[in-house]
Amino acid sequence: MPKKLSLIAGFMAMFRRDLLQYIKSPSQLLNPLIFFIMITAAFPFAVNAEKAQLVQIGPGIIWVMAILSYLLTLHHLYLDDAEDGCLDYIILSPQPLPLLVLAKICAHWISSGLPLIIISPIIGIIYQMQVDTILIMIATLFFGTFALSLVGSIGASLTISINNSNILVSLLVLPIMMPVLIFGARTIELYQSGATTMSGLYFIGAYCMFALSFSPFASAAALRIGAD
Amino acid sequence: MSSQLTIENLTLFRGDKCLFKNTSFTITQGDLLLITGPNGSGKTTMLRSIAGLVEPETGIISWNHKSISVDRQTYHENISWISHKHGFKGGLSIIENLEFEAHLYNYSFNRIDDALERLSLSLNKNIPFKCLSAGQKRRASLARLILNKNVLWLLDEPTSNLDAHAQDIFKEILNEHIINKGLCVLATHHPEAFEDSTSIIELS
Amino acid sequence: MIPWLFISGLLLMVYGIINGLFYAPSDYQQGDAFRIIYVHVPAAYISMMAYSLMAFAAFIALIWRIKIAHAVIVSAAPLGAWFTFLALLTGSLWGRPMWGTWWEWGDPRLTSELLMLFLYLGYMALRASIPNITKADKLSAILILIGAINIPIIHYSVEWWTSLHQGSTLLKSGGPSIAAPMLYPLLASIIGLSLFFGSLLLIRTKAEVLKREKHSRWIKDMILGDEV
Repeated sequence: MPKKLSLIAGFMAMFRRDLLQYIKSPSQLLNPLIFFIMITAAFPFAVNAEKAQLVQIGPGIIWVMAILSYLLTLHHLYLDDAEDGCLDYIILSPQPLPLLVLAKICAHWISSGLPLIIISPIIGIIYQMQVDTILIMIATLFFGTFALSLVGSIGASLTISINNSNILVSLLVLPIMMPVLIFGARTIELYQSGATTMSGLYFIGAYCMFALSFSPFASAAALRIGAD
Repeated sequence: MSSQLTIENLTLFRGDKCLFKNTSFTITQGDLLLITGPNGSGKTTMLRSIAGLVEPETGIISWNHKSISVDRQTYHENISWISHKHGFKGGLSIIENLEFEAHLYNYSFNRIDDALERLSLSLNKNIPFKCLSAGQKRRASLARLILNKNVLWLLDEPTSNLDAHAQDIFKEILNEHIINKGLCVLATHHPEAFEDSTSIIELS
Repeated sequence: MIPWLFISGLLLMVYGIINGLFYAPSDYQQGDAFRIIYVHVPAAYISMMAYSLMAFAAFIALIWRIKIAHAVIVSAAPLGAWFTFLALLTGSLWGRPMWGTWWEWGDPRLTSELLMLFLYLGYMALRASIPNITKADKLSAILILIGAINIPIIHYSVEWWTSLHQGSTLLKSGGPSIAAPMLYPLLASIIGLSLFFGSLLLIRTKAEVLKREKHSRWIKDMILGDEV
């Protein structure tokens, strides 16, 4: 008597395997983080590093560079599985593919998004942010990186059959991510200039939910077509 | 109810080159179908299109008289797929890899030890997969056939890299499967190794 | 049908532009500089129409698997990108006398038009890097749809962002009412340029279909039939 197919078990297995995978090859995770720190720290050398100016450009730079270093991690999302043949077994399993895709996205976010959020206060301090501003920044990055994982998953799945897809993923994802960038950086900046409105943060949260509704399905469809 | 795989008018192009045209066949329980041909003749592509991984130009693939594009999930629940890539994560051990698949493919992992025993992999089960030899990797991949009890096997060059002993084990497993009324489509360029096949498709 | 469309489009376009450039009265505020709208507005309009057309075709192609829809998308993309570029170029030329600068980040239409161009470029980049035509068709159709559902979000977020900048754009939404002698040439050039776009699209689609179906029998029959 075969036991019933458990969706939760499938989701958790995929999630756990990817996390394990990331933990066992930490350089894949650490390099983009180091890149993020180095490049944000490079800006004050290049521009006039007066305090007022740093405060002004800080949110924009942190957000652009967070997106940039995040994009570097994205093309691994499905490419590794496609190369070693795991993707076939994932597609051919009786589990619904969008569910497994979502598990992969969550694992990616935990392993790439959370570390970025954790080190972001250091960058905030470099850019002379106040403690409460840093909290706002963390909140925007929290939702923003998840939205990035979701939208980036589509870009990564569209390009699995292409060698050297790294830059292409960025080309596809960047225009679509523009709203998150705008609202993310603007929310911090508005807060710094004394506005109390949090509408930008709500927007990013809403965008996250919106992306959640289409990203797993679009990615799954793209993976099915691309697995060749 | 007896299981049956029907392929009708399968045509597939790779670029401008036609790999196969209007191929049709039906296999039922106890059948072993060989796909042979030289390298680059489209054996793998045909197998992938039968599995539903590659969409053919024309043609219908039906499982138990139902097109797989209509009922994909039932089809997936019934196939065991072995490709020439191993499909295991290099950083994880055989056990970790198989336990992951046990959840996805819904087989119980108490049997993993027995399966590895039979393929004489017990000693290597906790070593990272990438440290194994090519033959061991292939054997680990074949463990799937023992673990999930699916009725339709789609195998791509299952005996590559295997030594004589391991090939015997594989043939034994395959014979058991055929005798137990299983179906198998097997792509190989050594068709002489499988004397008891019921039909052969030759690609050029 | 193509020559008729082409000729009528050309006639309308010539009528619209000549009237617009030489006979329409000059604007009391903007002088003669406003005359660029006879190119700018149709180009901007077509750039959006082309993307909607592509999204519609992508939808049809993915749901009903109609092959010709893919050919339409492929043919429309470079045209749409050129018209987007034209709209940006003329917008920037117009901006010079109006705002005193070639590029004004404060204008939401100009900036969302730029993002539109990025979407077109992303689509073409993805297509160009996948050698297998059927795969490229389907994957890029997914990208088009994802882009299409994001366009409204991108547009409104850009608008929200610019509303924080300053409120001094000359181009109010809704726009000032426009006098008939100015309006008719504008309408003529919009319709003329659309017909022009349509005829180019048909020519390109025809060529694309012929290229794709070069192995099929009906093309051989057609060519041989012509020779007999």
